Amino acid sequence: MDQRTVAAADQLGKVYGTGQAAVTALAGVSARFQRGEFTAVMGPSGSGKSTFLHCLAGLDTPTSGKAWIGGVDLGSLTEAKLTRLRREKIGFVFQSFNLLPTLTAWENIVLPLSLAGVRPDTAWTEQVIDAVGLADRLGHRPSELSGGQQQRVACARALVSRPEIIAADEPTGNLDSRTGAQILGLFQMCARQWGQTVVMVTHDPIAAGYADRVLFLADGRLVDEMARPTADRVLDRMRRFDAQAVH
Amino acid sequence: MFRMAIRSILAVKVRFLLPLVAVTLGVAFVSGSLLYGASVQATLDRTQPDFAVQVSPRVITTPVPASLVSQLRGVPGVGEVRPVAEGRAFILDKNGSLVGPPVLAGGVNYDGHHRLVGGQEPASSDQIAIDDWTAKRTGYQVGDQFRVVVGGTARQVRLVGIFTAPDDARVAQGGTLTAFDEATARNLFAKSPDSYTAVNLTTAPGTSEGTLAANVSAVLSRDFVADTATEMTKPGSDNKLTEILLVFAGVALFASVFLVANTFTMLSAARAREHALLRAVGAERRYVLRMVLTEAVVLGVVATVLGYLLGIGGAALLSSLFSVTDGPPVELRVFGVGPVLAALGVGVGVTVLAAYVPARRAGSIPPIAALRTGLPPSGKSLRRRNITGLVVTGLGALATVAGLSTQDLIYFGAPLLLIGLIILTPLFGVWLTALLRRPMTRLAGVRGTLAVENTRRNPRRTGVTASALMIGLSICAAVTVPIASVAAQDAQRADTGDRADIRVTGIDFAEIGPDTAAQIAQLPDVAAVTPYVPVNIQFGRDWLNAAGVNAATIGDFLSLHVQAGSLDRLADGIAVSSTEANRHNWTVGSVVPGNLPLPVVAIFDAPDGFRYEALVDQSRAPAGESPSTILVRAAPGKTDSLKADIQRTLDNPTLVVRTRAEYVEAAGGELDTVLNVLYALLSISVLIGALAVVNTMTMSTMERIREIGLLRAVGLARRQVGTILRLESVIIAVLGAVAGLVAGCVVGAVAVRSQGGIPIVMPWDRLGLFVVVTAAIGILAALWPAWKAARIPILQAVHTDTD
Repeated sequence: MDQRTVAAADQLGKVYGTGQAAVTALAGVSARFQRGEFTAVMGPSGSGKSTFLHCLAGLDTPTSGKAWIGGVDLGSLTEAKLTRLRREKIGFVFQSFNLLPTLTAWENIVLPLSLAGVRPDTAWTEQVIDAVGLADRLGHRPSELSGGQQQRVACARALVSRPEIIAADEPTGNLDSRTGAQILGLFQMCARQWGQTVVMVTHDPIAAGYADRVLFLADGRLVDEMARPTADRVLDRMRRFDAQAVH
Repeated sequence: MFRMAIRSILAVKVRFLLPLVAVTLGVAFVSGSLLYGASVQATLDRTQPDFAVQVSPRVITTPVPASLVSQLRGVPGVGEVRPVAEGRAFILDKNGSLVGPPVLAGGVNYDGHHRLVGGQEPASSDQIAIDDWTAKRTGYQVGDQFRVVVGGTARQVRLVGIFTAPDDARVAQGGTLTAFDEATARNLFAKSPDSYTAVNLTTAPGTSEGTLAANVSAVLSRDFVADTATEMTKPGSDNKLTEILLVFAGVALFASVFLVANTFTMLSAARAREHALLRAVGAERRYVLRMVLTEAVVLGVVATVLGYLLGIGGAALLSSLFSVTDGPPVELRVFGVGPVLAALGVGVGVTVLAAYVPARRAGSIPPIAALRTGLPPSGKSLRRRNITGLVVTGLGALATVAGLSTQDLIYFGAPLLLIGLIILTPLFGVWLTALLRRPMTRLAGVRGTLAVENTRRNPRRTGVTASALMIGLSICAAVTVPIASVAAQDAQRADTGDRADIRVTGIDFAEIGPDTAAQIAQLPDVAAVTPYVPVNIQFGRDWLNAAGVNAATIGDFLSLHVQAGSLDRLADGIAVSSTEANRHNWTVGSVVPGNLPLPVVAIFDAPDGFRYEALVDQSRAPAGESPSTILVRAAPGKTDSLKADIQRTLDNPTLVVRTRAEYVEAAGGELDTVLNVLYALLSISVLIGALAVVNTMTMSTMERIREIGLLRAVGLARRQVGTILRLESVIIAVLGAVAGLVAGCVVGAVAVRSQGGIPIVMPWDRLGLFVVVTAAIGILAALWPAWKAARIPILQAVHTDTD
């Protein structure tokens, strides 16, 4: 693996169940993710795009193939080491329920550091909070924040530990287009200015248009890749899937 | 509807497990107590006295003369007249230990109504007959020689006969009967050899018990009373035992109400959408209410059946714990209409009662809630609840404090105080956790924060859970404080009374032989001996509680401050306390009036804990009167060897020989047994409280699956999930412990203070132990939820409804 690759998947496969009931969610997907690259993963429902992200980011265990983060083979890690890796090397942003309702925005942001027992790096944390624009809401509980604000807190949390990679699973799925654009703009800025690697699963061509490249999955396989996408080109590509599906 | 209820219970059966266990325990406690009580009663009912009326002296020291016996023979309606000479006789088994409970060790005169099953009747002073159950227990056979303690003296006797006495209440309850020939029995038990202790009468055909009693009373002098057999077998202490057991069963049930209520509240919250859907498709509020209540009924019925079965086991356990089984085995009644109805009423009643409020809330859910997603709803404002709680607590506290002067008010005030505090526990929870947030965060980092915050997010639930523990612990504290105070005072009194090195006393219900002091005085290494023989000096309506002592040695034992006169001349007169001297205007030389006219030779200040108001020489005591205590001073350094010597010489297990340190300790520890029994009874309530914590922790863990998954995703290790839950459950448990202990200590302290004269002693060590135990309960309570939570897949957090 070269110096610039921060994460990689090699023939990742995931089969749920056994025998007759076996369902293949992922049928051998390989991909590399470079430092500072913002990648969108797209595909129709059931294409395995979420499973791919979960296996890549150590949330789920693949049944075949390997995933690397920062040069470490996830399959070789014990449960404890994997937990530590998630804490230090990966930042997560989910579609919903990203925050612990009992903690304030600030406590949610520094949660990975608190769990590790590490003091937050003040300058960096301030920079992140500035970037997400939440400086005045830090003492609030999630229930007192709007959906967009909640999602920005989640982004700040993902950034605060300077992870190798941010894994975002439909981060704008529950947001309206304007607040969604704020989040996507934030990811784009992180990737370009701070060299932060971002992998985002989405089904929204407009969201994918913010990325540096798009991976297309269908039936658990990587079927296409598009560099410097725009929303229109992505939409066109997606329509072809729909056409195939009609057959 | 029943089928639906059963199906929905089965769907979430794990969640109903703990409330089921709690109610089952409560029902078992109630039915066990009742079954045990009924069995004991049945045993006692079987033991009808073999007389209709008993004539006995009003004061135990009055002899029953033979002339009275012949007088009674002439009373109209009388059948058989049977004079008896009864007292206490302790049988020693082959190891030299007492047989049966001392209170039931009977000594009687052998007469025609004893039915021999082996051997012959006793005919001389060294021959006895015993009941067949005792013979069976001890393995003694006709011809065996062993010892019997009567009047404080061990006698060597020969067993010549074995008789059956199934009707005798003493034998039925595990006591012993020793029969002597009549002359010996009168010698031993009657106040004079030509008298008896009582006369038993049967009725002539056609005369009722009451008529005979009336006829007998007409001829009796004021010194004697006639009691009917019915009066004498009125429900005694064993029914009281059942009552006490039922009180503790009630406490346990009260604790389980909270567990059941919490379960139904949490289930209703979890199933809010299901209920809303029912409402949306047209179900009435009442329908949902009835549906939830039906589940409660099903749960209650199952708990009743299980509880009743467990109660049979409980009754068997009780009868093996309490002395009754030392007697012929109590036939356990496993079925009784009363116990079955009580179990059903309690099991179903408690469950339905506890489920009612959650059920109503479930019914009042708006149909639109079916469409809502997201978090379980947070509770309503605590404002109204807190105001109610403060008012009730205030009233309870006032009534409790008023109990200082009017003692009965405490029975009203204490429960009210407890209920008020229960209503306020959510508020206490909020306060406690506000205080704890910072230290816990410092201690355990964000895990501490999360644990504290989790207990805060639903103060009602935390409060209700803590309440279940609080109930048992408040009563623990409320009984511990008075008992510790009394015990401390006892120990102090035992310590300040005198300067004896060794003290000889009888076990409860046993006497010290009149010659025991003389026997001890002959031993080597004895420096001084004095008995305390109780002497009652009566004059008019007043009396003096005096002690007959050894006038020559009493000065070695008592450091009395003599105000006037001198103890040296005690052999010629009486020494009185300054309090009594002032009361009666006695000075040295005045003669104390009454049955023992003696000149006052000394006036002393009694030290704390000295029970006697006057001292006389032991020769003034009535003949044959037993000392209550014998004090001994040993030659320097010989205390321990002298103690062993005394024990060997007396060779009487009904006497207790203790060194100073031993009897001070024993005086303080006398109530430990009582306390331990109370703790055992309360442990069921505390167990139910612990189950409530497990229940709440399990259910709230299930509600928070996604949160836990999220935490794991952002880097919380599997073990650390357990840390959070453990901290959380310890906080809840300690909240219950602290609230309960504070309330219990207040009630206990008021109870002590209302008695007057007893200084309040706070048993800090025990209270601290209670807190430690509850903290341990908290940790244990989190074991199962933590185990489950650690197995929650991380992806549960990621999966959303739309996926």
